[in-house]
Amino acid sequence: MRRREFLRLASLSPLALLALKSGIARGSSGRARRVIVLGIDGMDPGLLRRFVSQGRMPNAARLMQMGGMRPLGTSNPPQSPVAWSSFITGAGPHVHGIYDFIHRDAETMVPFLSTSEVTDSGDSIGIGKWRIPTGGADVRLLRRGRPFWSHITGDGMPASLIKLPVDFPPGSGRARILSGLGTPDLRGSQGSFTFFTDDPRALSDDTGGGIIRAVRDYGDGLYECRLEGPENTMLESGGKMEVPLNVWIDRGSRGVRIDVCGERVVLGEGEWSPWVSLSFDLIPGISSVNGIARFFLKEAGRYLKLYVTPINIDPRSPALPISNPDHLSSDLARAVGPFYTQGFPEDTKALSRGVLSDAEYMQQAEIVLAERMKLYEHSLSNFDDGLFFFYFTSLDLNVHMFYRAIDRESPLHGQVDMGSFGDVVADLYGRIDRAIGMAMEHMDDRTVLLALSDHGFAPFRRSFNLNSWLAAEGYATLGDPYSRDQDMYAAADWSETSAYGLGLNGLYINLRGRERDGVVAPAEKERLMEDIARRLESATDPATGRRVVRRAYITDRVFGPDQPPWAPDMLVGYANGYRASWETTLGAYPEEVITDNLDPWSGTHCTSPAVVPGTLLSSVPIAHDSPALMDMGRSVCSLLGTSTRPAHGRDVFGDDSETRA
Amino acid sequence: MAAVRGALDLLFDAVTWPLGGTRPLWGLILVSLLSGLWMILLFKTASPQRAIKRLRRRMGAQALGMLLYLSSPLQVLRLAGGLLWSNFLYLGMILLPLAVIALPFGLTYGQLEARYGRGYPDSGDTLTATLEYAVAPPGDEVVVSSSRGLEPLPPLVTIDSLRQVSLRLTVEETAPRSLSAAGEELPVGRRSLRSGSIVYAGAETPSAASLFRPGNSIIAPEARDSLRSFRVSIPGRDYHVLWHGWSWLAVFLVFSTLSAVAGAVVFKVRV
Repeated sequence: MRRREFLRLASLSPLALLALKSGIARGSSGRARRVIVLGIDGMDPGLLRRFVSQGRMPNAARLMQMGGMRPLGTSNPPQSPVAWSSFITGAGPHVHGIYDFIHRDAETMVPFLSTSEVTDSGDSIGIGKWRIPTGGADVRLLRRGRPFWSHITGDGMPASLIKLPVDFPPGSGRARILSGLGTPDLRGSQGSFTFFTDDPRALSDDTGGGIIRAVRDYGDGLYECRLEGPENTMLESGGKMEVPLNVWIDRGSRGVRIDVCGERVVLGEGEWSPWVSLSFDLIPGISSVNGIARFFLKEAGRYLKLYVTPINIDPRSPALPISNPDHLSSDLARAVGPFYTQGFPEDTKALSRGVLSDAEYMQQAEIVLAERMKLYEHSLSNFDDGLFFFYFTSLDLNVHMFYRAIDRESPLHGQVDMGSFGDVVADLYGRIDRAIGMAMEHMDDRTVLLALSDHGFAPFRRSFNLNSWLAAEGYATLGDPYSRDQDMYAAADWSETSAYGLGLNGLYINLRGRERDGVVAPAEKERLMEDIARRLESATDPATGRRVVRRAYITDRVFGPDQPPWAPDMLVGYANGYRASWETTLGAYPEEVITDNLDPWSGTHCTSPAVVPGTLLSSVPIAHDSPALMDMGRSVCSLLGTSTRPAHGRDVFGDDSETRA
Repeated sequence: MAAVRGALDLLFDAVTWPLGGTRPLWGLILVSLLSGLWMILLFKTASPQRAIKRLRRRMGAQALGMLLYLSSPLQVLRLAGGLLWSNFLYLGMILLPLAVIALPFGLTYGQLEARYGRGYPDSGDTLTATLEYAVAPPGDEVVVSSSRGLEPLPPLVTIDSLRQVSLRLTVEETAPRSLSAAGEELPVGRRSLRSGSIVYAGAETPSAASLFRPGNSIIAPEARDSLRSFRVSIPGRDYHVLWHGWSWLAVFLVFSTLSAVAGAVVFKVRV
């Protein structure tokens, strides 16, 4: 055996692992040469321990032996955009400005996505029906604060962050970044599918998560469909761009041929197409926007049922900035093929709305995970020095959808086909374990590996209609009870409403001088919030007798008095088993206050932070007993020995006593 | 037509021969640079250079005159009308040289598209094939009677109103690769040349059309009774230039324009 080969094998032996454990990973200078951070959204410490003890996660077990494992304090509220922003900046929402998936404009009461915004420059020259913009669209990241890797690149060390959450559009610094969570699809939403069918039973007015289009075969086997794309910003009258989609059905062979944008795609029932390039004309023949989508043929018999994934930004020719440098996304696509660029790639909405079955959803989730693993393998093999961060979303979204398989108290547990899906969660953890194993193979004596998550998981058995509760308790009055189920507070009588819920944990006071129709005097706000907090914390579920809210936080008591105008006044920390209902998140007032959650979205983390801590697995010993996600930026900088470090957080691997922000 | 095709192959082989052992991108760049050069020289030969020179001077004077007489709207209008007319004259002057360039450009375009625009399908790739018939398509079971190196995948989608059958083919290791359908042997292959190869599907008999699209799949109608065409989605390829993926056409346009501009300066061509 050659010496080099011997050393390589020896480095993987238990002795070498012990050596790593004793701190050699930082090298003689005390500095790591490389830090690999695997961001595994939703990896729960309890589930991890269970699967490790069952022998399903041998690599995680090895990593725990090398360094250790601790629950990782999450953000308040424990939502992914908030938590990952805290990871990036080392601080809470008062610094990075992200309090929820959605915020609201108090002057208009219109909700908006919290992480980024796309605005038109406004300047244009009109030519007939066309409007030629003289400036480009402005895509702006709303997350504030200095990212921790700027200290690493500032010292001349490379940093590569692939599928980084809450970083769309990526900044223009020296780090190589491919944006992840928060990246919209081409329509500007967080993922909006299209479903073409002539089955009248599948049609509905519901537009949540996607569009269901009625189509018809006039007898020649042709369905003339139109796939809706983004807004045409060059058309004076506006309107969505579309591409024609001719679907030829052969009921005998139960297949279709899809003619779209010069390509022909043949599909049989139950099959997924590869990525298909789509081109939407802004001005025909002159300017277009590129996207990619996959097709899934659900049925080609009596009815046509054709599902189209959300139209993703084409990484080979991105319509919006998704990477830094710009060419990174196309380089990666050239190496591994096109991939999902939207932040939420698993189509949970299609499963919730019954467009995809459990099995079909899992096929789609498997495509996402396989793509992600290829991207991971390629990026990892090209990593030499500095920081490498890679983000996995599969565990989070799939556990959201299949928590009902591991939660015997879930109202949907009895309906799960346990033979097929009983082990989905364990299998997913197993797949993540393989990713950990791959990173371990890339370790040398000066590499530190961290696998961490932003939060854990809790069951979502009962839905709490916060707005309905506020109305029942006298904090809100309904002007039009027949509009209770409509979004955007259609039923609210603002002149008699002192508080309202928006988003997954947010509660706002209808404050005079701030809200459009504010009625609560600023002097009354504190007393009102204390009153609501007390009553929320004592609210019980009549069906179970359990407390619904573990703790109701008054925001400026948690984060300080200087809160931005979009910050919620209170954060509702739900107890285990409870979460804000989907209806509440967008301002509806359903009849019942607490109902069974009958949506496949059966796991949650939008509870009290104490219910859903994240996980930290490390190849070096963790010095602190209660590390938190917002400590990790400073800790990584410390491992790499940067000359400057983030102002906030602690070094959880050393004896740094810096206080948290 | 076979002789013309052979001559074209030989010509492009000879041009790219010095770079035969290097990456295809260099061959494409070389042909693009040479194409820009010959196009500008052909333009010089076929166009009335002195008349263009005079016209350009006049157009310059008209534009300058408009700036000088800004205070006199009538004069500006008169000069603008003159400038517009000069533009029409210019377009008329370049019609003939453009017509002269069109034929060799079309042949060059076809050769480059066939040599540099398509990737040879790898084993495991899936291609979509469409057979178009002159009469109603046969039933599924007799569409493909046999195949070599290509595994037909179900379903075979029959579209009666278009007289077409579409199916997918999985590319296998073995070569040559072909299908037998409607009594025809339909190859999906690669014609090896000295400096590279041309990927094609179904084009057995060289036709006038195949000179412009050597990789085209059109089957000469006079030779076929029932099968009108056979088309296969042969994957495209791109080139890594300056951190970006470029199509062969983008590479061609950029480098041929560069050499045409340089040629115009060196050979004093009035464009």
